[in-house]
Amino acid sequence: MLGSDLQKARFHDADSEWLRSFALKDMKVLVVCRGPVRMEAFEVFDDVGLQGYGMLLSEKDSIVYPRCLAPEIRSIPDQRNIHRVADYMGAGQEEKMQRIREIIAIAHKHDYTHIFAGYGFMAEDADFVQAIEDAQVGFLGPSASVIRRAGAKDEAKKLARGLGNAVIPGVDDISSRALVARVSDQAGLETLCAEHKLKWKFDPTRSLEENAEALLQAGYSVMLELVTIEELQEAAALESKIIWEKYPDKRIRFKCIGGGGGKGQRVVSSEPEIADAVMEILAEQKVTEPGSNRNFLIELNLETTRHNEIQVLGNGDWAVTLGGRDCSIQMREQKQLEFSLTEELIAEAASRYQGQQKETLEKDGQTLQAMETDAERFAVGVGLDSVSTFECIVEKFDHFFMEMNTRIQVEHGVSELAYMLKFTNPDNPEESFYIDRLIEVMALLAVHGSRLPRPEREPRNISGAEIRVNATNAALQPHAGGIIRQWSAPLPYEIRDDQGIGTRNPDTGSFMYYNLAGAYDSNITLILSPGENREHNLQRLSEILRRNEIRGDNLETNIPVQYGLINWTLGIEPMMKPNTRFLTHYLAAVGSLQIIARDVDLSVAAAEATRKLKDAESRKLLASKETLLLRPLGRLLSDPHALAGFIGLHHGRAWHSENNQSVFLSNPVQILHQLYHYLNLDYESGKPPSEMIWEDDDRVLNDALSFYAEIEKRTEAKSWSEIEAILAMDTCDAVSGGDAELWSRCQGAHRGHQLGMEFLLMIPQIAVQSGFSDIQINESLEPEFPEQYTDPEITPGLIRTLAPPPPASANEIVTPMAGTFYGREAPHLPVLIEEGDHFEAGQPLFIIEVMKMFNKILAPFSGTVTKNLMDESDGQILSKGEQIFEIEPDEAPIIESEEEISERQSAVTLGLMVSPTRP
Amino acid sequence: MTQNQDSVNLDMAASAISLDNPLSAEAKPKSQSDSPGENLYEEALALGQELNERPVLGGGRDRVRTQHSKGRMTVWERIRVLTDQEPNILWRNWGPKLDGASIVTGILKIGDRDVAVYGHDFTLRAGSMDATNGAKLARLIYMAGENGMPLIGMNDSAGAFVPAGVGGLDGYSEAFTALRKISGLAPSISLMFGHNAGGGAYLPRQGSFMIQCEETFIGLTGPGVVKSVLGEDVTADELGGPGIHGMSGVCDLTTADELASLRTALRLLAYLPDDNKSLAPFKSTSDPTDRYTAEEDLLFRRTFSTPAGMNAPMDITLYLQQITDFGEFFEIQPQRARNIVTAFGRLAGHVVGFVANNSAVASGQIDIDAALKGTRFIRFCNLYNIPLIFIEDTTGFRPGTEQESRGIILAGRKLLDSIIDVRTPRMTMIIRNAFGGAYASYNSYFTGADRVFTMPMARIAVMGAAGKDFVYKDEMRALEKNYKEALASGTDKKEADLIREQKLAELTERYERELMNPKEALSLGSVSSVVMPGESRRVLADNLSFLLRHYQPSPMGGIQREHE
Repeated sequence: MLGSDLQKARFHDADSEWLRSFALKDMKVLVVCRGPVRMEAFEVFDDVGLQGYGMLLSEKDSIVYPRCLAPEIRSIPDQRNIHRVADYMGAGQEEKMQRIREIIAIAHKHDYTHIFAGYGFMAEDADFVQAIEDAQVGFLGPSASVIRRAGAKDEAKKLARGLGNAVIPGVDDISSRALVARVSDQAGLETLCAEHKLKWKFDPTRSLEENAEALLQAGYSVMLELVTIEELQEAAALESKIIWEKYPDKRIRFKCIGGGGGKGQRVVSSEPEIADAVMEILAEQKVTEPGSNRNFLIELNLETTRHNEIQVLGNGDWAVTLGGRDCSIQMREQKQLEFSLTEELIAEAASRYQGQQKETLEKDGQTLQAMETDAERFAVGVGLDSVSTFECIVEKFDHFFMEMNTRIQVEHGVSELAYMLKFTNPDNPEESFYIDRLIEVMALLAVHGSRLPRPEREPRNISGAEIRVNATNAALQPHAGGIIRQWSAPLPYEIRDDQGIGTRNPDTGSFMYYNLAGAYDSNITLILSPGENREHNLQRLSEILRRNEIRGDNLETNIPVQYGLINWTLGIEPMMKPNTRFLTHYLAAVGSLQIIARDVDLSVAAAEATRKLKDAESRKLLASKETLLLRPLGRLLSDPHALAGFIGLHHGRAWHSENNQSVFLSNPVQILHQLYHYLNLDYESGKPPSEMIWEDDDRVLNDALSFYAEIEKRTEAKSWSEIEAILAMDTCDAVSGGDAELWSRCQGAHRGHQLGMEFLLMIPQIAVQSGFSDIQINESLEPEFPEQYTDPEITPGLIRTLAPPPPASANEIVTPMAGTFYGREAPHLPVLIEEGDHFEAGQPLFIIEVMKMFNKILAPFSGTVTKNLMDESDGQILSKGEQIFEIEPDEAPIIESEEEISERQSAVTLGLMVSPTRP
Repeated sequence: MTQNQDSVNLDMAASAISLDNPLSAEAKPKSQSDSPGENLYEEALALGQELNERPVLGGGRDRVRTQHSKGRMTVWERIRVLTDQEPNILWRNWGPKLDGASIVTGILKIGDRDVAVYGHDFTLRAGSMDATNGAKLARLIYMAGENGMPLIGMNDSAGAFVPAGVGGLDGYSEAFTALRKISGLAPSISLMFGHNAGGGAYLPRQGSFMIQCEETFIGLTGPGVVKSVLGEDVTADELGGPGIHGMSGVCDLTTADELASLRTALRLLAYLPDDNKSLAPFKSTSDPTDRYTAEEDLLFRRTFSTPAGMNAPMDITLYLQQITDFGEFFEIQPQRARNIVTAFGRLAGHVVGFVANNSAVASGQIDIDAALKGTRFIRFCNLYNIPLIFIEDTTGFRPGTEQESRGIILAGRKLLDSIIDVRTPRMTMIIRNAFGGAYASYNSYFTGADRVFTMPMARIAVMGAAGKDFVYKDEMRALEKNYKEALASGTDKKEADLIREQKLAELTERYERELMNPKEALSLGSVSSVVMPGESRRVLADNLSFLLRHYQPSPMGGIQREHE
């Protein structure tokens, strides 16, 4: 809590009686989840001054992996408050109920007043919350009845529709509707039933359509056709017409229930297409035969949707929204980067934009407002008594309710950065307090909910954003394992929720090695930061990642992806509005950079540049610039994501490309300087020398920078082309004051400093040749990708180049040790793998017993077992290296001779080298 | 107009191309007004300045750039990673060229400790050794021994300086001798950078620990010589990269790059004493030593309730992280023979060497590699007053022709001898299996252990299940007799086999129940007491503190034994 002076305070220490009445000091909270929110909750509880708190500890967080101990267990004040469980939630319904009973028993035994489930799976499980309520224990989160009303998708949508909220228009019961259209009432259905002697009875508690559906089901069971295809086509036309009345420009999707992968789907844009589309999807789904279930879904087709969500809280009587969050940058349902979306942010941006983009922003503001209104109405409608998230999809300026997440979410910190809450005593407007953390609000609502006055929101920052740092490779696939050996401290404006991984040994101050086993999910840390607007926010995130040093063994994170993406966004359009497919397209685009960059051989480039020089002096000078120029360039080209970000920042600004030619628009010396900075290689005293520009190179670079700075100062030249023109003149008194010798030396220095700078033009050349630089931002602030990055046939291949899987080394699996073979873990269990089965790298394949120790042998790569040579051979004794399976590896190694490789690399490299002469 | 046009402008060619800033104040051409002799004092100062700078310049900018272009730091840059305090460089201008003779020697302040350091300057004559710098290196090494300072060696040398002839070889001999002479007086860490062959490989290995990073080579000879002598086609990495030496034990630790090597050296240093007269650095701990460690109990409970039961393998570092201060431990030779884990850690703030059987690798059996790895570690701890804790869970030494033919008896004997010789505080915790010769040799009371504890699930016995053949001789004979009789009386062979199998299983079960437990060992005083899971940290910490209260660190003395 913050007092009215915005200083941290505690309710129970307050002078005012009204404030004291909200005291939380009698709470004792059991935290039943893990992840960054656990440590965050402990921090909040420490600030609030609770009676106490405790945690569950699972085996995967304590005894399954070495160097993977939950850090909290060494820092929690009272060790008795650690409660061991096998896992935080069970696998399957039975285990889950068992775990719930266990948690309640712990709560009762240790006098916990409340349970907090963070954003774990249990947090929005109505069974779980109901059981807690039945056991007379408090819960930090919405009550079970709210979860039921808001959480069940169909129910929630009905409720939302009833409240006048926008939901995706469409119907999922077209067959029943067609039937009802034919028979029109109960009597009609009953006549039909009698006619065909079906087992069916009208149920007056259900709707006409639902009864029709039951009759249809009875018909399917005896292969009886009750609705013809023509009738379905008519019904579809009717429903489509209703949708088009409201959304005239949009297309409509017909989708067979159970269809997938684009099969049994058609998208139509006008009435005449409907009949054929219905026929085609039924044919594809093979349900044209009379008596088949031909039901399909009709809904508004949303092609490029954004994922926006509204943070909302309430006490059952009132509800307040805290603006929105844009969570569209996601892949495989995994969010990567989240931005705050508030009226203040949009208004600030709109004030700086012009024309259609300004208009777009203003309309976005209206959409946001509509979403917030819907969210508040819905929250009051379901009686929301804690915090929740109102999730929408947005297409252009239309938003549709998807679902309500009845829990605090991973990205809640983004909203905390945007707003805080001000609570004022209704009986005394002078008395007020502020809350800036949602977990504290949850505690307050759990204890004092009904008497808490409706708060007002107060803007804290125009912008807030969150990066999720995950253990993934450069293609954003999970990468389990790896040891963190070193992690730099956070920057002042960096909020790092690292679940305690960065905790140092308090005795020695050394970073404690941490094993990223990836037992639960791939998240390592959340990084949050506020900003004065979106652009400033992105700049800060970029700076945080630039300075972040995380080192270790076999370590892979998505930081390179995030760093590239954030900088690319900064360069191309900070207010860019990505849709949920954006990241796939973007990764494909980065993959196309990689295809060229991986073949660049800088030694070929250096030799070519040297060959072009006529005089020995220049050659010598170029050689002396080798590390200055090629070291940062080599680093950039070895990381396609960094390359993408640098291109985004500078394409069209630092250089201009046309007709496969690129020219500098700014001084290449400055570009080089920026490149060093971008790669976090600037000179800084105290930094390890291998992690920054080499000292000699730094001297040369600084001489160059100050030389040009002085030229600019003396000539008042504004642009690089002006400076170039001046330095080509026979004399320039502004610089040399008539000293011809000095002017000559200036020209010599200019030639020296520019020598070899054409290497930098390989960057725009890669951007142009790959097509990467063709990505545009349209007037609606949406990114538009060239076709090759959106074509589902091409994109997977492009993305794969970012993280090629390790090739198999053989087409057989042999035993790595001598011992007794077993194909199964115990006699009563099935074999671990059978002939024809596919296996992933790391999957156990068989057991070798050595002196009564049963060693699981793991697959070194992925593939398929083509022949099992040890079928029914349990108990057979093997010596080391004996063949177990013949296999077909997923990635067969491609053999390319060294000559072929170097020929290809030379061709690619020389193809990127352009004459720096202006065309 | 730009510089790279193929037709070079004549006017342009007139002005010399440069990388200067002619417009900066300092860039003005130097005036030659100070004629020599005018101010002898100033001249002396300038000379002093120049002499001090000369070794820092190394082989000049081109050489430094070549070093950098390989992604390598110079020796001076490496020193800056080790400490942010000004190094105390000794014999700075050694050598006829007054450039330090391609080797830098000095004393570093790392935290509050004095550490002797040497590093080859690869930019000067490829860091090669000759007669003069061998002597310089030897001086530094002797000084570390005499003053009781740890030594860090940063090796990056092409080997003997060929033009120096036999002088280069003598230089190596002198350095070898020095390092051997201080072995046992002060610990040393050898960092391997660059390409180290021949003497450049032997010299650093005489030190206590060797750390190698990627993109470096260590070997008797390089791949070129191997190709010409043996016709073997091999890359430098396959012949002597960290992947090879981490497995063989030539290197104790391997890392990703130079920076990681330097930082790893600092980590390791925190566990090493200054010399053989002092204890390793004590860090009082805020991790309670009397905490009950529920995870320890859980770990064993889970491990032994898998389908494999008491025969389930278990990664022993999961146990180490439960009992050490804040769960921190530092494994030595983690790539090699992990059937024995050797690690430093702190218990109640004291540095301890752990020697732990690890059933997760090769069932924790002791083979030649594991024995040699353990021996090396135990001898180091013994020399430098580091207490040892043995974690025992092994079915014994590995039998078979492969091991016997390579001489496992010699390797096992080394391990046994090294244990017998231990004079520092030493304890054993028996987790599970302690059979036969392995039990007898693995720091039992009778080899000189100060404490031997056991967990309740321990199976201390002369041998594993096969022991029933000896213990139940009568029962076995009866069983065989019955089997033969049954066959003779016409019982179906399958059925007779089944009955025999069943009886055998019963005997095995009886043997495990009656004899594979800690009871006999407790009754004989071979084990002090049973420690319940969860109590290891408390019991070991209490006893370690007691033993250290009664231990005076001192140089090792006594009789030299025949075997090393």
